[in-house]
Amino acid sequence: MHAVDQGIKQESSRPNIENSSGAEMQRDPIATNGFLDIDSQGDFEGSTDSQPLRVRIQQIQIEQDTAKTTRLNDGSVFVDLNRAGSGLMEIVTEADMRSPAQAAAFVKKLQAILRRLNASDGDMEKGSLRVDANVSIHRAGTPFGTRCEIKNLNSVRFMQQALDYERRRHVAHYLAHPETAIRQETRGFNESLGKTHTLRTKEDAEDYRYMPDPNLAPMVIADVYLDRLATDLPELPGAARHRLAAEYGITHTDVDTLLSLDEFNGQGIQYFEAVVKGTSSTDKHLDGKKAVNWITHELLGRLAQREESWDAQRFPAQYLRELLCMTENGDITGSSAKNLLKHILEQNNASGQLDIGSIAKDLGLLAQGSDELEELCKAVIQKLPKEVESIRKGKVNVVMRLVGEVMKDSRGTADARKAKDILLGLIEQNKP
Amino acid sequence: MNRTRCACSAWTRPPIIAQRKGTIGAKDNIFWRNTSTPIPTECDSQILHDFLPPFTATAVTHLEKGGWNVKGKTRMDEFGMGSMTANTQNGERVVNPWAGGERSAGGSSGGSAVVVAAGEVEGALGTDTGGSIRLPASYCGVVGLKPSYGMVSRHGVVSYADSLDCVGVLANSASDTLRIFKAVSYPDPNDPTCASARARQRAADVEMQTRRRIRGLERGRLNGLRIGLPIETHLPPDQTPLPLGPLLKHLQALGATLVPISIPTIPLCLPAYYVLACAEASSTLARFGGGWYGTDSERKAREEVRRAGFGREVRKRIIAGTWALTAGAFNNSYLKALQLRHNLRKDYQAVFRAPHPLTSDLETPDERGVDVILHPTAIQTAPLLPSADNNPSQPPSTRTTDTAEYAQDILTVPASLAGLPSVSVPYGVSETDGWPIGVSLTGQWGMERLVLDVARVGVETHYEAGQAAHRHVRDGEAGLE
Repeated sequence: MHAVDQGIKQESSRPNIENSSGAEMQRDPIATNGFLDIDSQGDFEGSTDSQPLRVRIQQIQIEQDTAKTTRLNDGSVFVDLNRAGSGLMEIVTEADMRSPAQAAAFVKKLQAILRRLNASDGDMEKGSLRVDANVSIHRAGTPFGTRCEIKNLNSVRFMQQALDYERRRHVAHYLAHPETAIRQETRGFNESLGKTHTLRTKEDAEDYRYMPDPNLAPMVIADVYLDRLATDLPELPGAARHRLAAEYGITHTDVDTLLSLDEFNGQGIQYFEAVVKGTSSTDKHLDGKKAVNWITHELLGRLAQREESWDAQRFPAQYLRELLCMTENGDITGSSAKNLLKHILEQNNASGQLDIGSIAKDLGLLAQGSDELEELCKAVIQKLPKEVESIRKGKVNVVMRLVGEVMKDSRGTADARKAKDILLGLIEQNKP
Repeated sequence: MNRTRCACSAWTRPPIIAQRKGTIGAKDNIFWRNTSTPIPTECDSQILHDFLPPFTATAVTHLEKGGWNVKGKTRMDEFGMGSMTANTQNGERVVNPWAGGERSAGGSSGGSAVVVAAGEVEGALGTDTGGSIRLPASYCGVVGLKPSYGMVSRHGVVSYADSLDCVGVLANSASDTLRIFKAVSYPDPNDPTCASARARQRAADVEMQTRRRIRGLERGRLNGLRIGLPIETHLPPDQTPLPLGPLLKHLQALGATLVPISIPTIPLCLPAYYVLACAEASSTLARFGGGWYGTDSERKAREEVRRAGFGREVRKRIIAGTWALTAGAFNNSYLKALQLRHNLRKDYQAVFRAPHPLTSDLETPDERGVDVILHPTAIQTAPLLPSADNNPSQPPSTRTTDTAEYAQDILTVPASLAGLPSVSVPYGVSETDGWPIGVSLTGQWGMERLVLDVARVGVETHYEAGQAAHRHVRDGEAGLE
């Protein structure tokens, strides 16, 4: 980080900001020489191109936004001046990416970090994040050719399409004219045609007429401020992925699901860890895989069915933890726990005070104790004498018919294995 | 001296109140939203004709809260570009009220100087980018203060060159000037370049230290004061309308020590100033011209709006400034000028006794340094107004050279580039033409009170003594008849 910045403003022949200039500080960036690592795992979605990659960040500078332009297919241009004058951050990388997939992985990772830091919502369509991408090609072993810049790309998908189109255009040019360098240009991307087109060439490049903006006082960044930023930095998505995999043995896909629940404040991760670890250090740790399965399959699945989105208060972590503890203790069966969760979500009152145990009891979902189970079994034996006879004659598998009956009578709260043991025991004991 | 008391040419609209007491004039580039009788803020430019400002400038708001009434808006050179108040909206000329004859009031705050000199108001707000308060003050025989850069909020003041523009005060005495300055000198969150309360406190602390060394100041003496006389401002006799000798003797008699100093960059200030001011103007004035998008015909209309809306001098400075910022010229013009300003600031800091209040570590005072720097404000008394056949609306070939007009700023731009407080105060009248001339006192950043006190104790007493003697001689002559 650099301690002092001086704002620079640019003049252009098409001023669209209140004082007709966009300010930036190309000469004095706030940060230089950074990098962003892209992992082999996780960062490349559905791509075969998945080598780890370090993208160097040349510099970060603050600019004044001018306006947002939206071009329609009929050629008309709409200008939204509402953002004019607000600060924007330009992040300039070195030419370290070698494929559209790498560029996509970089932009997505950057987007996730910006969101987690609450620096931006990273919404490319809304214009909160835009990409200018430079393309140049070469034959292996020879230097890169002239570059072309594609401006103002507004989605990762369009960026990949634009880069791919541009790459092909360069290849076609050099196949046809191996000796002539491609013309250096600034290009735009037409989303409906999937093609790039000339915006301006080097010859008619605008002279921006940069000058220091006297109305922007030098910005002094104190060391203590930087120290505080460093200590307050939240866990970034990449770090969370590694840590959660190592600590709880859950998959990257599971972590990505948790991360996607709240990209800005990481509440998905917090929720998961609250379920596993509880609130105090003496709470016992539950199985991470089981917890993440319950979150992703039961909770998120059920919410998806109900066309609801997740938030941490919809079914607070302490209740999911309680539910999982009850299944581990055998107080409730897995299928009853799922029914209970379904019931609570349907009641829509999960955010209030809940007593999971008493709800389970009221609904008769608590697992049967041994005495009650034995009573149920005795009743079933009495009810089905024919089947008991078959068992006594050696058709042991018929016992499952009795187990089914016990389950039915207990409305699913009975432990099937236990019921089977009790039934067989009783039948053995009471041989005539 | 027959001071003509008419200032009719200096107001943009007839004043809405009659009395002098408690009233001020405000230069026409300072927003004043008067709801009862709306008066536009036009900067004496066609392009802002009838523009009603949406709010009142912070400086004016402070004055109104302090019980002052704005009497009206005063004429100026268009957007502050000029030294004669002759580059006006309709080519109307603002006449210096000092004596008979068609003399210039100076510019660009000529209207403000005139309404003060004519006694229509107690004081006026002006703006000073390269001398636009001090030069008219000198020509009209009034006191004009350009404060330190950042002392008075520019919020609601139309920009000419943002890094140089200062709102300042014109009045008939140093004490009136100080009173009005105190009323407008506050921090303002709406102007990012306006000095913070903390910066002001540091300046006040440094000033307090300085005052302790100038023991006589409270008793009308200057003992302990060290006055620097830059060798570079010692101009040939034809550019010195009134010798400084008698004033210097008077200051010495009051106990001040005179110190010859050198600020080697002063001779290069004028070209540097015009490069920087024009470059910034090309940017700040780019906002005028209506919508920037649309069809070709709308685009042509915009070009026409700017061609017809800006006067000749403004168009010239915009073109010059635009050129200075182009890729081809930038390094050799704009950057060079910026470097020169940097060197000039170092030169100034090397001669002051008090440390700059905004340096991170306040060094101990340099006892060989000076407290104020003194030199004449202008190289001449008020020049003749351009005659009708010398009108700005006429083709350039029929006009007197612009260079002569620019050269009037030669002694005022150094303090502007350095961002230092500088006051012009009358020190006498020319023996050849009987017109007044001012002397400039420049101090360390934030030392407005000190330069005004020195002006009051050291220069005004000399001027009054001179006037009394003059009256005596004149009365004596009359008696002989």
